[in-house]
Amino acid sequence: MARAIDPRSLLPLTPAVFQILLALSDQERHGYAIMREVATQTDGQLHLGPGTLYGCLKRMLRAGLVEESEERPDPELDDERRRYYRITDLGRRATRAEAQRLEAAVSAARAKKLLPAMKPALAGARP
Amino acid sequence: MSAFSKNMLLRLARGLYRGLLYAYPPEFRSRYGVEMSQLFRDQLRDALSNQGILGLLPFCMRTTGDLSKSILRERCNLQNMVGMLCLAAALGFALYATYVDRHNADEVYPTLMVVLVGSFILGVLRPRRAWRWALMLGLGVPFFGPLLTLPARLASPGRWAMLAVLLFPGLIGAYTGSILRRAVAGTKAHETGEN
Repeated sequence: MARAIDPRSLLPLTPAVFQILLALSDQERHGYAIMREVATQTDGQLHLGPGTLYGCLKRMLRAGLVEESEERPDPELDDERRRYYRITDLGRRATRAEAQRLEAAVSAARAKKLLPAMKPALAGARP
Repeated sequence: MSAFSKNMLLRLARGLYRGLLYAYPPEFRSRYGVEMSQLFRDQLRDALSNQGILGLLPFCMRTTGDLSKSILRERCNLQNMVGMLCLAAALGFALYATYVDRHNADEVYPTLMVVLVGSFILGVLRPRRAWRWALMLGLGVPFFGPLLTLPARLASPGRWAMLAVLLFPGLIGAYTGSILRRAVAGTKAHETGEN
């Protein structure tokens, strides 16, 4: 059923939701690990408090962007009460669509000379 | 900071945080409360380890902001909004019944009608636990009376007994509304099932 949903209908994602999805895009994580990863990704600019994080996760679970993981990556090393979350296929497509939307916005800002032009080496490295 | 005082601080702060979690809607708290409390503990531990006791002030400010924003967001979903509006309407009806009671010194029927109609409307809007509307409206008059300076009328001994009677039309109105709403919902569900 999730395949039928167009991820573009979920755009724009809020910064917190986008960062959480990015944090989950490479591996499943529990709340504290998501919070740490988001802080790293944003260079410490976005601190997710418990209320914001779990409020976002609740809405993301409902929208089918993430799901609870039943497997625990390393139960030996972990608190068993922690829940792990992982990104769904819809979540991955929505993250990609949001990244493309942001990329288009950055390109528009570059065209208006609000941002410096991209260096040739970086521009060449683009897929 | 010694390990003992650090542990005490962590316990105290976590206990306080758990108490504050009661401001969230019950279903949200029961689903995420434990995880939120764990995350709070981890964040507090990080703040203490990285910045010491001085790190507590920005941490507390961030947490207060996070709590107030997220509580408001969780409380303001549509279902809760209807509940809040019904509570506000119940308060309004109770105040209006008090006003009507004040301006109809010799008659109790106008007040009874306000309580009956108000409870009925609230019973239709929120049929679950309809008795609370009767309670709010029926007892609202003796409660708000003194606040709205009605000493002369409330001073008469039989007045309280008469006002207590308001509870009955309240219950009748609220449960009539509640039953009507359930009956209509039941009919609709039946029709949908047939189609």
